[in-house]
Amino acid sequence: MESSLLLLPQWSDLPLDLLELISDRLNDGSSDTVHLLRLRSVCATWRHSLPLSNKNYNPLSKFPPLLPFWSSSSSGFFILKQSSVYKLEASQSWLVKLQETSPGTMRVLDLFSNDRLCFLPESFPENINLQEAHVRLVRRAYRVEYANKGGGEMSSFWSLSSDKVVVLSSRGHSAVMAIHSGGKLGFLKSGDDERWRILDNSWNVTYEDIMTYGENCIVVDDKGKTVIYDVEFRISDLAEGLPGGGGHKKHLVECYGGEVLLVDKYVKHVWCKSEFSKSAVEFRVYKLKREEKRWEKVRELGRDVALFIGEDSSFSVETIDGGLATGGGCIFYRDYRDGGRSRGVYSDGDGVFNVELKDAGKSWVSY
Amino acid sequence: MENEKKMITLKSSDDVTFEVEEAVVLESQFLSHLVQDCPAPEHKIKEVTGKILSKVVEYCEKHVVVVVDGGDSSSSSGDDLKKWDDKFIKEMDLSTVYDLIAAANYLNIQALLDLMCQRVADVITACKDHKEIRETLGIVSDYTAEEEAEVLKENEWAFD
Repeated sequence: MESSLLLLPQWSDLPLDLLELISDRLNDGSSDTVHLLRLRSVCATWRHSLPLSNKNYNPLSKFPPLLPFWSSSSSGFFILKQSSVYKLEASQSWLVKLQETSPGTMRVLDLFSNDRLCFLPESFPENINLQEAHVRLVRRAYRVEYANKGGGEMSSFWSLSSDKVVVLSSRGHSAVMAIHSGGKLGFLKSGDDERWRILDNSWNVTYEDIMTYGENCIVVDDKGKTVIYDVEFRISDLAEGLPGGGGHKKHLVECYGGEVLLVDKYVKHVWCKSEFSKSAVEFRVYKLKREEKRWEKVRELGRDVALFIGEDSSFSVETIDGGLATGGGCIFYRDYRDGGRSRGVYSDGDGVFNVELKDAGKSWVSY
Repeated sequence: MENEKKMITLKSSDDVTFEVEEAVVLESQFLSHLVQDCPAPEHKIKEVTGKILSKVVEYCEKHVVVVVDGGDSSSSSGDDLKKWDDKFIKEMDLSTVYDLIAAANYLNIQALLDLMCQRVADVITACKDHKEIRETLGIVSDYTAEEEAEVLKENEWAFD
């Protein structure tokens, strides 16, 4: 229909509220500064309609800068930090975890530990132009840092089982959810006198990992039993526990297309409850069968996917797209026996990802 | 024991008429109010063309059946409905999507509005950069040289 060329709709004149509806849905709803900047680059009208301070792009702005500490008797508080894993394609491809320290300035963090990377490889660009480089959000992560009123920061504290938290955000509702020491699930709602409350205080449940899933939140306990909470904190069962409870540390990972995987880590020193497992010996992977409410064993990961098990977020990366040619079928984690360097392990074909097997190399995970 | 279904006629801006069940009309908040406040057999919707209204009616008819037969095992399940939605939007060109967004917004049909906005979001996400978004949506850059420089600056990331 050539004539339709004359009647082309004026997308640039789209009313602001409708433009916002669209921008909120970019990249499966996990809208990011990169998307916002891209939309603002399209035309002046869009740039004026979509302010950089848009709250939907920055859930942090829905919470006060200092969150209360778990117990009100302490003088300490939590600082909520956001970081994002991006696939960045400039002259070459990089997988980077970035934290914005001031507008336009990004700090490069270790993919697994969140330590600042002070020595970047020479080929890593000093700056990039988002209009030219191809930057794609892989996963957003949140963690809390403990601070006390004296200003000193502590790297560890007793009240959270890890510093990983998730932020649930939808129109009207925002909440931080965290697993507290003892495996209890705590939440803090924005605007609601902002203090921590406990969800599901059953004595026999010890939660181990938490992950956002769309607008909802999936939580797994130490036996693999898995539940999902919606933004109103309504709970539904997702899967029964693993037979015998499985290994020692459960990690949830979301794959492309919304598939949910459980990565179960086996470690040598079981009695060491520290998050920094010093001796992972193997991993096993399970796939969520939602209709059957169970975990199904995965013998091998596809060659087109790699899993990353980090401290405040685990994620999957498609390895074919974007020129990241190696690492498909691998689980990458931080190996504390090896000075904290990352390591990739394959399955032996029987569903056991044994760390004694060949290392997949770290060429593409370093940054 | 089927209740007698009340039929309502909708007339588009270009005088195309659609006879639909009342339940279909109730999918639209705007139309439900209109039907309640003004019990005429025919309603003219001046803001929507026949081409777009036919799409709106098609969507609402599909979605209303599912709600009514909710408990019936033989009716469309949520999955089927999602497949239908996917097909519905895939066959549509962007200019129709634009008009449907405007219509769904005007008629206040939230699910249809969500579906259409998601479609545009997917199209934008698939674009490599802002230039491709412009090309795809037929937008001409209206930046002054000054603004262009500001935009460029805004798009710079430095690593510390």
